[in-house]
Amino acid sequence: MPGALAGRVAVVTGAGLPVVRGIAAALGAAGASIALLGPSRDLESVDELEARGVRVTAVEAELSRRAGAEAGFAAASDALGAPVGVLVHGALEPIALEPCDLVDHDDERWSLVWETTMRTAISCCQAAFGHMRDRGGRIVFVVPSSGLSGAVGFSSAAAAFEGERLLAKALARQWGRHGIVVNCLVVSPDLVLHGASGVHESLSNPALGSAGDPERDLGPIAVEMLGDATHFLTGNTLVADGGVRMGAP
Amino acid sequence: MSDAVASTGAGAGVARRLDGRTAVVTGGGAGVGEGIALTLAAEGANVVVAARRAENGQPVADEIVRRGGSAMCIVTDITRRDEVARCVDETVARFGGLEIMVHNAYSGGVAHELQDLDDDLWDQNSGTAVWATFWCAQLAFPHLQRAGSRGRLIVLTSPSGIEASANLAVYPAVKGAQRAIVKTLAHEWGSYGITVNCIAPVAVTPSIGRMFDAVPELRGRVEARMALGRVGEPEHDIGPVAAFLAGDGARYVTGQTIVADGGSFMGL
Repeated sequence: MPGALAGRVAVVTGAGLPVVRGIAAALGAAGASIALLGPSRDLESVDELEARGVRVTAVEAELSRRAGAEAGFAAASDALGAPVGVLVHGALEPIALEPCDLVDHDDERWSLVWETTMRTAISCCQAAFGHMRDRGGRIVFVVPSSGLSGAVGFSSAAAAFEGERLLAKALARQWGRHGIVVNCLVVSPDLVLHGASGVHESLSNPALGSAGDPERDLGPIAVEMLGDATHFLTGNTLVADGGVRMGAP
Repeated sequence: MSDAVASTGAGAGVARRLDGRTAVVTGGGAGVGEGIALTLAAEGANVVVAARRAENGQPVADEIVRRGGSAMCIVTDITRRDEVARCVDETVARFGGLEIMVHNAYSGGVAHELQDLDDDLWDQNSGTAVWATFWCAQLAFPHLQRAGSRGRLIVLTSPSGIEASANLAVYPAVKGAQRAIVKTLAHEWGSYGITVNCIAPVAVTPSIGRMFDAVPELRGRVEARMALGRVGEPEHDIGPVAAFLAGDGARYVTGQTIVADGGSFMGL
């Protein structure tokens, strides 16, 4: 059954998060071969995807180091028989999901949330570049809108989300000449962070009534962002939070 | 650390908007930080010039005093928590409080593409921009809380933290991260009356000056994008924006980024 992403090899990080898992399922349904990368908590949905007929592999990898990310991408490529052409990046440390005011952060927490998240994003993009530099590729960061809006209790996480979003813009500028496009898919914090409800900067409830279902609502958007039709979109932030945030990103 | 020197000068007898308040300006020994330090002092604030090297910071403090202001230099490596803590403690010990924390210091603006990034350059960017924002905010907080509606955290970000740059991969990331911290703190500290904002300047600084020297046509290209047609001057173009945010007139402005770039970026 050919799909919009048939023949693509997609690395997905952070699939322990339901929102990323749903997007991975949508990519698989669209024909992409999927490699789940990361620590064991992010690999658990491999059986579920396989049962649904997705060509999928799981690679345990230490993504916060460049060598670990590169080894993970190499293993993914070997297992799926082609270079990696897509990176969907949503990896997060679990502690990033828990609220903690800035004044209560210790350096260890700041390091796990800000530093590890950014080092992981950088390493994964460096590893992706090795596969994409000569044949082009697609990178999508999946981040909650908490970086755009700020979110009580999530200063270090918001820093990391906005760090990733601006990294995406910088890479769009740097790697466009290689045919690599880089964008951000911004989702509701309600789908990711614990206790983040009610911290929207907007007084509005979602125009569409909810934060969305990861696979049914966000999956098709991710598939479009990775498909051939959108090859000329780069450096963009697509806000798909059900219609809460409507300011310019 | 030099001895604090305070005096009254030309402004004595005329109420100025920051009279009686104390500001710390990190990276206050040069460029935008120097400009902000001079301006806040001219508005009446006691200014602590926090600089990594005394040979940069002390002359700025001396200049403030020469102009009749109140200042001291505290040598501070803002990539170390204990040094930021000492800077805050010495400030409060000398001046009795801290109302305005300005985090401006940054290093690591070396052109690179991400595939060539090394750990040292990342550590410089992450350390001076993001870790130092965290520490400056956290360690100043008890004093800003005491200052209540006069409490201010001002963080110097960059237009690059909004629209990124082609020749710097991680600079936009750390500058964007600062904006997210500022927005979050605006929420977390709003109930105390403390305001938290960013300034995104484009101004002639030693580092930009070196870039202009290295690439002579760059200045023309930058200025051609600017509605005002010139690169800003730290003391007279950027300093007053910080003074506005520091003063009572901006007490209802929080979580914002004021882009002071001569009208290049207009994407908001």
